Amino acid sequence: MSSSTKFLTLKTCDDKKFVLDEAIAVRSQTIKNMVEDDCVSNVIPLPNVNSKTMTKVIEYWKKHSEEGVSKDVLMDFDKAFVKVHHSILHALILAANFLNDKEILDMMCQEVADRIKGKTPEEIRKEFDIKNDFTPEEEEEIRKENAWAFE
Amino acid sequence: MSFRSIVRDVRDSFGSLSRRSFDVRLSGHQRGKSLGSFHDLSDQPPVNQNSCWANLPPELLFDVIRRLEESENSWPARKHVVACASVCRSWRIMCQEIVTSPEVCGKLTFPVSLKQPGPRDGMIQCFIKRDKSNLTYHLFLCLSPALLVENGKFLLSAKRTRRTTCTEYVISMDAENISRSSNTCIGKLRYSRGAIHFLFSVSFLRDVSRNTNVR
Repeated sequence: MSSSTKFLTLKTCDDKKFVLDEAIAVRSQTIKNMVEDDCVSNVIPLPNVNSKTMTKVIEYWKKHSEEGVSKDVLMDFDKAFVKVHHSILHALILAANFLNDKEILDMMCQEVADRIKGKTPEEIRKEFDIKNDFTPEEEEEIRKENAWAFE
Repeated sequence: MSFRSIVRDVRDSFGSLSRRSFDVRLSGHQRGKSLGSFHDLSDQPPVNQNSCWANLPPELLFDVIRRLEESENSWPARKHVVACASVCRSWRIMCQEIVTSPEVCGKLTFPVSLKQPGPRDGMIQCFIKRDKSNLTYHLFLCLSPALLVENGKFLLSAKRTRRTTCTEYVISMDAENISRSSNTCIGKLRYSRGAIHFLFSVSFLRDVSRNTNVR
């Protein structure tokens, strides 16, 4: 590690601190903008991200910043990375959006789209823990639509 | 005329133009309320008790559903877009926002597509299966250009009735129940002395008028 390495401290909403190499942290466009605008004091607060989610994000950043990692290894890493409970997936999407990390956001949104595919409406609700909030009339219209689509 | 007055004239005409187009959009939006709109999401009260996924910020939900809509662009995979629109209200509104009419995108998605104008350029390839024994006809969407007759998505059905002065075809969206009394009936086509008349059902006309206001 060169002597010029700068470290940033990120503070999540649950008051946990993460000390991170600036070169890695600027994968977040939000953090990068703060660094470039020189409005970074010692600690960067991340009021929308909790420590559990931030740990996952940093795990991703570190892996993708490693030198000499083959494409295949990264692909396997990404595949395993998105295999999480839907609540973590949701937290990661919001965090990636807040941190403005397009790479993670794209990957997570694609994962959600992939999980929707091939399922019936009831199976999708179960997968994402979503309540059916339609009125009986809307429900009848939807039932007909699905009967036609899944015929 | 001074430069300043020209600028003011131009600005005024822009102002009235944009105001006019806004009025048009607004009235269309109100009449088409039943189909919902992107903007309805923010109008909803925050007391929604549903899960975090039903309350995903609109721009993120848009990103997810747009990916699904783009990848599942032909039948039978297209049914996954219909399934996605059946999950909960916010998802349904977003799906309807993203899926454009066949006139615009050239694709059929919801059954209501069958009641909307088709694409202006290009065609949608279909085939008809005839059952001569009970005078029924079934229209299918071709799933491959190779025209494999066993491989199609059912669209519409029709039943022929011979009358003394004419021949009538009752057209329905139901494959089995082809009757005028059913609410899946679109209408009928009457062939009489070389002339063809289309007679639409009330439910069909209601759907059409509802959709043309929005799209």
